[in-house]
Amino acid sequence: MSDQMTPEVREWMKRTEVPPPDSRQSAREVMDRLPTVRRRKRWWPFPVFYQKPQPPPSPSGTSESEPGPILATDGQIPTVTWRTQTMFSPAKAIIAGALVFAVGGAFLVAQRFDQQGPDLAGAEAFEDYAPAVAIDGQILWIDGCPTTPQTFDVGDAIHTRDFVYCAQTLVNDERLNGETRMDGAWDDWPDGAGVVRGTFTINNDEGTWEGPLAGVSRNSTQDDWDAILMLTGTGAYDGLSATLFFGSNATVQGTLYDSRLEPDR
Amino acid sequence: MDQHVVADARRGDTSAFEALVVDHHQRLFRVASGILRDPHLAEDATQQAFLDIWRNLPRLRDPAKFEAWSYRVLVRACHAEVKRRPGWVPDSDVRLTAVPVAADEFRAVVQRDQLERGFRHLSVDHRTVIVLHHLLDMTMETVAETLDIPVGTAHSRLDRAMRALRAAMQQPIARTSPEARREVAP
Repeated sequence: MSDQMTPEVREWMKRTEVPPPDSRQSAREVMDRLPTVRRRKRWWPFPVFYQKPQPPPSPSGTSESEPGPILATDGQIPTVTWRTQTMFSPAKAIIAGALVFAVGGAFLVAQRFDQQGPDLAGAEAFEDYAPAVAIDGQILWIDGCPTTPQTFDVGDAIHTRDFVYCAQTLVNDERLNGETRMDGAWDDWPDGAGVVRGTFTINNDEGTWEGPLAGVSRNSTQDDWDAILMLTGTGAYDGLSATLFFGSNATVQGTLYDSRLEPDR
Repeated sequence: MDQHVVADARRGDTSAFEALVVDHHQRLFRVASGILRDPHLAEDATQQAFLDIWRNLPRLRDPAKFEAWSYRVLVRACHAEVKRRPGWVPDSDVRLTAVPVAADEFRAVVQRDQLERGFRHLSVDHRTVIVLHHLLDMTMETVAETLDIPVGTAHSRLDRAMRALRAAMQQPIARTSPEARREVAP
């Protein structure tokens, strides 16, 4: 259907284009305002991994903007045999970090082996734990869910409260499949930032999964976002947890596992 | 695009930055004008985008990505421009006119006016996808890469925007301007 509109929209856009103002005049106006702008520092504190492109060599073999090498008294080009680069090397830094990590890890592993044996508390009980399952699937939003969100402005931010979305979760483990509901609130800002918080629930005949969700949007129309869910099972799923990651493309991935293995326990 | 100039401007070379502004002003103005549908707002947004580019340029790691990055900065400036002027009306050259014209021409003018109105009701994000795809003839993959969004999101934005425009086009002419319609009626 949209294809029928395409030629009309293209023709309209191109026909209604306005000629740009003088670029040099605009540049002057921008440059006049430049002293009022405070530059930000770069996030990456190390030298950028960007190889500055070399200018094309001039016919004489040297760059026009750079002088050629100074010849030694014997007419030869002097060879610098000592350090010609900065002392910092990203590769060296990474290797050094990996070595520190490896040595530290070896100490920790050795200590762990020493502690192993029949006296290690709870060692036998691991066999009873529910096996973890990698979850992969989709959360499909459906219409018809009752919702009356309240929206109001606070400064630049737009607050939306009491929204309800309904969905159907369809993943590779039946225990997580069922009617799904997301209750919550979000705040978003005109520059595209946004946060969402709420409660996520999945219901099926065997039990319920419920837990908090937290997410961020990447644009002001809220159609590009990612969220994380931390669900706890009840009913037949008592003692199980699921931590899932899902986004605006409706895909969901995560892990279903024994609640006794929650990382914060 | 000369990556040396970007790299020099990133280091704080103002003359390199001025050269960047001159080189890229027309490109960014074209997009801003397409999004905002108003040359004055577009120029304001373009200049603000260049100031934001100067502010954030030290954070651009790869000068080769300057062009796509500058589009994203511009879109944010357009967002801010719209936010700063709530209820703005685009100052387009194509306006419904009361001057009697031939029926076909009148229909074309009405059609463009309806497109203008439909477009005005779109969000800046949706307008941006239309401008990049239909005005700059970017592929949807390039649009997604430029805006740093998934290709599926770019497609859904374009689809939603085109549906909204089609709905605007299907509004009866009489609702658009009864007076003008009376003038061309036999």
